Amino acid sequence: MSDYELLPESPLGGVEIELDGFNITEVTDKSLVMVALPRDKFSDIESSIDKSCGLKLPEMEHSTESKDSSITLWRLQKNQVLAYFTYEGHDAESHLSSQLNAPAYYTDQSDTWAMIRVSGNRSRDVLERICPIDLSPEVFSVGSVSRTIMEHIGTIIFRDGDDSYVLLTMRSFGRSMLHAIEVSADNVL
Amino acid sequence: MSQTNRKDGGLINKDKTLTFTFNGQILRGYEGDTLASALLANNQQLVGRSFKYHRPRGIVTVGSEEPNAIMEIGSGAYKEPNTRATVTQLYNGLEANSQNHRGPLSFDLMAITDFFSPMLGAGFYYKTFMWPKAFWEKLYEPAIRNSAGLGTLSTEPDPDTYDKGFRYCDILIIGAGASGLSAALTAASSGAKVILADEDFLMGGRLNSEKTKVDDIAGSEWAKNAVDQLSAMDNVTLMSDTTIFGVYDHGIYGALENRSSESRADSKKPRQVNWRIYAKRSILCAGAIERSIAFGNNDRPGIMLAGAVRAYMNRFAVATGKKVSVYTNNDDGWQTAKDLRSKGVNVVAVIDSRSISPVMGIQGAEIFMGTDVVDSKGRRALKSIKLSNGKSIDTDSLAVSGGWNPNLHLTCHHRGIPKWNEDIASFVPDDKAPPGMSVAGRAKGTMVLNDAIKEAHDLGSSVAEELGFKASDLEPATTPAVAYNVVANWGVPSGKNRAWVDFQNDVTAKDVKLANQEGFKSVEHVKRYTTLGMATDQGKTANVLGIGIMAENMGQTMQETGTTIFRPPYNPVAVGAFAGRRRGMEFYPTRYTPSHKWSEEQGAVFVEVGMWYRSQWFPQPGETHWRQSVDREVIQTRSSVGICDVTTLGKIDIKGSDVSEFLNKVYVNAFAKLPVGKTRYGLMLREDGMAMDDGTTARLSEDHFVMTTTTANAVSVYRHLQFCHQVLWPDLDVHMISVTEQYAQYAVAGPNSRKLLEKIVDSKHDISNEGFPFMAAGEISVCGGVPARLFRISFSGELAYEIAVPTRYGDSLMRAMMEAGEEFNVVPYGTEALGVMRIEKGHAAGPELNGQTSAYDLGMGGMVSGKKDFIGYKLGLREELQRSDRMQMVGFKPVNKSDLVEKGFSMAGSHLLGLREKPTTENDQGWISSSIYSPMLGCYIGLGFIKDGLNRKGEFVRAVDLVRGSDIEVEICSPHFYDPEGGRLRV
Repeated sequence: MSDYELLPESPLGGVEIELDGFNITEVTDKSLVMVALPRDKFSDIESSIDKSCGLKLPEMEHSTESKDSSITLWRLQKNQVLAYFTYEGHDAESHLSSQLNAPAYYTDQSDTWAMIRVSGNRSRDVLERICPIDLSPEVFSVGSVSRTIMEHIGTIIFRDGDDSYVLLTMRSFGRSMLHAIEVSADNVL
Repeated sequence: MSQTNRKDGGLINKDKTLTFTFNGQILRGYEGDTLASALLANNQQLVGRSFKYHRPRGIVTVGSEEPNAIMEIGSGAYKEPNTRATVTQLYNGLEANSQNHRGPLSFDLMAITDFFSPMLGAGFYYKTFMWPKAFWEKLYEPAIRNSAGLGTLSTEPDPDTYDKGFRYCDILIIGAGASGLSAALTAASSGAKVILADEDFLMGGRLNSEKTKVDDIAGSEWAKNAVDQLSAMDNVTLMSDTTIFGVYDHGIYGALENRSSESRADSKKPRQVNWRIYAKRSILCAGAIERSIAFGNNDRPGIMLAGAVRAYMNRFAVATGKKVSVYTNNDDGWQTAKDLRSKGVNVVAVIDSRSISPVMGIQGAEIFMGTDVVDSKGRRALKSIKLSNGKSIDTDSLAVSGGWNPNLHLTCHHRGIPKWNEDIASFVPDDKAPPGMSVAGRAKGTMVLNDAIKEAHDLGSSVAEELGFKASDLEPATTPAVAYNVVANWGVPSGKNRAWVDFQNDVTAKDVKLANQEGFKSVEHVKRYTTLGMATDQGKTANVLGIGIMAENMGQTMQETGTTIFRPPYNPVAVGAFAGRRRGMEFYPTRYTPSHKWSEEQGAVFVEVGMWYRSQWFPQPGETHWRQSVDREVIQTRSSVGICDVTTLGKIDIKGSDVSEFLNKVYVNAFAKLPVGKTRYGLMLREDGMAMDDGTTARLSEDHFVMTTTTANAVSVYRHLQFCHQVLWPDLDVHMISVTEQYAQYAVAGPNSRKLLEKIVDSKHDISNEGFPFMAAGEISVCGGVPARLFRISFSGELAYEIAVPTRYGDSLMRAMMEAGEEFNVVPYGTEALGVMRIEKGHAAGPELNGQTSAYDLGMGGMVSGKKDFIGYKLGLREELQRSDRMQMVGFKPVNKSDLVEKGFSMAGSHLLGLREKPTTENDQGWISSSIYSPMLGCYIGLGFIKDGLNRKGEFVRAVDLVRGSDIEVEICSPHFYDPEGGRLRV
């Protein structure tokens, strides 16, 4: 029996910064699991996730939600979706698998990403300094998700509210990404 | 008495006086001034010295096309050379200094070059300073460098910051003069998203410089109302003090926004923002730029462009002189005489080269029609001019107008070629503007303002309509129509005087003629031979005049002569603005490993591996040299146990029913039948048969594999696998994603590694030698149920494992293992010790996988399967790659064990030569790719490549390093220096 207890840490230590019309918060309560969609199981998967959770496969660069809103699916590639859901355990893969009950392949990505939420009525003003994609509210509507590069860091951006965006970068880049957002806020606000 | 030239009126704020200095002299101006207008208000005519001949020069224009008034602004690290005074907004405390003179501006010692001018004509570099050859390096070049250049740099790091940004719009309108504002009003009324940009800090274009009425009110008033209206609209973004400097592909525009007033108030704010604007359409309303006329000594301070002279009066309330004269070839020049006269300025003469009736009466002025100016007097300030009829006129300010050139710079950025328009005697944009761009107003050649406004107004609607928006039914603004009548005049022969064409590069009409005479007939050749149009102003006021002179010299039409190509940037852009935030630590992102915090606490020394910071070694108190730390880490790991963070190595999770078949095709060795619970070393080749990367792949279940790669190739191998999956074998059921960051992974190596891990791994898992033999792999749990993966693989050659946990536990696991290992004197080891151990074992790594080595060259020929096809197989069969005497990887050890020990550097990079051969490339037999001091062998060792190496073990050669100065005898041996049988791995 092991004498040691391992304590989990989030990539940015739960950072929370409040500025004028702009907030930066680390998202620590979400898991992310890649769900691969084998071609010959595609329709099986579609019907399974609908039956189990009331989920539809989203269109490219969009998201869908389960009936109870606990699971969001992001579509960035034809042959896989990313499941973004409220869960903090280290067994997110099996947890999701049992919920979706679909014949897909699951790979945990919960520890791979640093997740930062930027929100507030100045979010787009701050983000336009580092985000090369069009964030106009009518173009990047709530529920949109996309891949881009911000300050040379590969980033997934998801709009989860009128003035709220979640930015995901690979965990090791987390500090650099946070810094890029902070500098943008300093420059703009 | 200050500001002697200041008059009433203007758009400046006389309630706010600003103080500035020019060459140390304290002067005053007002809010709303530019540096140029303030200098002229103070009667400062002399502002600089010309580039080549150091001639005294004054302000010529009122815009960014200014060739002469380029100055150094600011001091210390903030000093910025070559800044145009005409577009520098005046602020309190501005420090300006003139450029390009030795000694005071008024007595430039370098002006001696003006007297050597006959020798310094076009192309003189090619004709002088060529002989004697030896003098070039020691004498001519240093002398030329010393006197060359415009302005000086502070040579200190730029203390300002810059930022970048990205904006999207439906329609980008470039220029906020009468046309731009008109187009913006209709376009914006349609609901389209509009960005309106203007390089001036005050929008309105020439409406701010003219007395023209628009909709019966002052043009500047109309402009202000339009701007107010637009700024209240949500779908409009106004960007003043913003230059659209380039038209790039796909509707992308470069825009430089000047925010220096904000950064002066708060030094933490960026002084410029370099925007990338993505526009579905653009409307270019950049107006027109006036050109001069070439006549003898036409470059004296006090000789300015006519439109600028009246702009200084109308917008800045500055009279450029007390006895003003006008020289023109078009109707527009007369407006300057009229405007100045109406402000009570003495206009002494109007000289019009056309043989027509006077355009209007100017009270008090002598009128000369069909006459030219041929010479001027007054070295540091204009005193008089001489006319073609022999008459001399006393004048201290000559306003010259040779006509207006549509400002079509941006239409040429995609190699558009302008076409000559005889009616307006200028070039206009041709139909091949960059995709998505339309042109309106004077930039298009529509010179009559009323027509320009209507044209832009209509274009704003039609462009919006193209995009599916419907403009409101608005009436265009109106203004009394004033015709633009012009007859081209490139100037008269200047005799023994010089007539200046390009002021900034000091190019004369004679230089152009000389170029033509010497056979340079193409406008492209003339440009480069004379440097006309090659200065920081890109010849905005000079090009058309130069082309006119060329056309006359060669008896060609203007269209036949043509133009050169305008390229971005429209105006000079500071390199800092292109760099943005990419300085210092932000040059690129930094990646931290899961054990970084813990390593910092230990005082680890870090090394940059790509963007990663990895621990290089962990110095202990008392250690003063890195070798002490590294040697200790190696010895301690090999005798007991060490831990190294190997998270950075690529990890790719691959699932599916066809993965083993997929791996079989990408690796040289067999993977199709890899058993569950086993890991196998794999070598990957490029299509051409060269080794690309190596790693280990483990099979965790029937359809679940995890591949590792080197740190450097984590991304490229993933990309390669994606290519194979998407393009080569899309029918294989294979799904992959990177898990490099998903798991913190540590190597635990040494005879006591198992004992350490038994304290971490949950007891239900049997990790004995029998239960978990060499090359086993599995999913386990540690520390009471935390999911983990264990791989029994060894890079060090010791009994070793790699243990992986979800990265959230990475820091915690490191601390737990260090505590668990205390009883075994566990040592953390870094990349140096990691490297020492793998070299002692003879493992190939990055330096050996350099893209030039095949599997056979690496000594891994035995791994290559003869039973399957795989990437690199076919081209690997090429004759040259099959030769048995290729440069093959072997080991090298010094004959004399103490060699290099005193020098303290390894054999890395040395080349291999025969014992008695001269160190030349002909005698080069190979090279040492990796070399370290081996604590286990007590000497330096190396891995390298030598011709026919595999057959030459036991031979002696030399390792020669001419850079660091070493030349030692070495023995060719097996690369497996330490535990060659591999017994230590399998305990």
